[in-house]
Amino acid sequence: MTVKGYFSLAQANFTSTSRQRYGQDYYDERMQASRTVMIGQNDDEVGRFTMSRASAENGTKEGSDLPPDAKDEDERKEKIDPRPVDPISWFGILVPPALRSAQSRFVNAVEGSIPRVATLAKELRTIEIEIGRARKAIKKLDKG
Amino acid sequence: MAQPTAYKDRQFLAVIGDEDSVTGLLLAGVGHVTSPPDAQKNFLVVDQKTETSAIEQAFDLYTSQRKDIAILLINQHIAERIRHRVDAYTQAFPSLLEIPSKDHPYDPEKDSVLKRVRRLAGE
Repeated sequence: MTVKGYFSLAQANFTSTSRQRYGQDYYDERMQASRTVMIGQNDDEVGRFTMSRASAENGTKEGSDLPPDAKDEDERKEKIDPRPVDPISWFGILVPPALRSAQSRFVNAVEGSIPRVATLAKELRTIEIEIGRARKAIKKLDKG
Repeated sequence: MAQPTAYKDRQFLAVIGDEDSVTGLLLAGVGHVTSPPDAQKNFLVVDQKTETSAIEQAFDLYTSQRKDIAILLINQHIAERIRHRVDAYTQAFPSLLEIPSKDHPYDPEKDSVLKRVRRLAGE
């Protein structure tokens, strides 16, 4: 599970180099999520998790093939109001590079490992149920 | 209110973790506070002073009461404090994942998902 690596690395980095404590005292009480989860459905009824990103830190980076004024832009505005700010700004304007690298590592985890592992866990759950059913069927056959 | 089966409404990543884990994840932009008067957070910062009942309450809130959580992350050492609840959890959504923390190395032997794998392969 790569989540591990990302996390410990990010966290080690995060605390060793920053003198000030970047923690809950600075959280914005009205924060709005700029990264949200989408649950897709494929043929075998297994949920596939992906992260979607609201126009947050870099505004224009969002979406790949959609024109910026596509209709989902409007939907997004409705949902996310006020417009999300980059959480790193909670901690001031001049933040240490370590905090930025912690942020990018956590972003990697949130966009990569976490949805991947969540999807795998879901698949495992499905397989578990199938195995359970198969075992029951075998038991029945054994009795008969 | 959303139906329990309406997985499309599940869009948030929730976290029950120590301060660094929560801070890191919030830096990644997953933090969300619903509009007042409710103002529900999708994260709980846990330290030594946090009562186990508060952890359990948050676990219930994110797994049962709220229908807008897609994935719940919990630090493994915190999961240990409500292990019976975590191991007994079988819902499809939200997906529950145990994650390591800075101060507590991750132990695969304790992970509820890996335990289930072992049970499947073992018997």
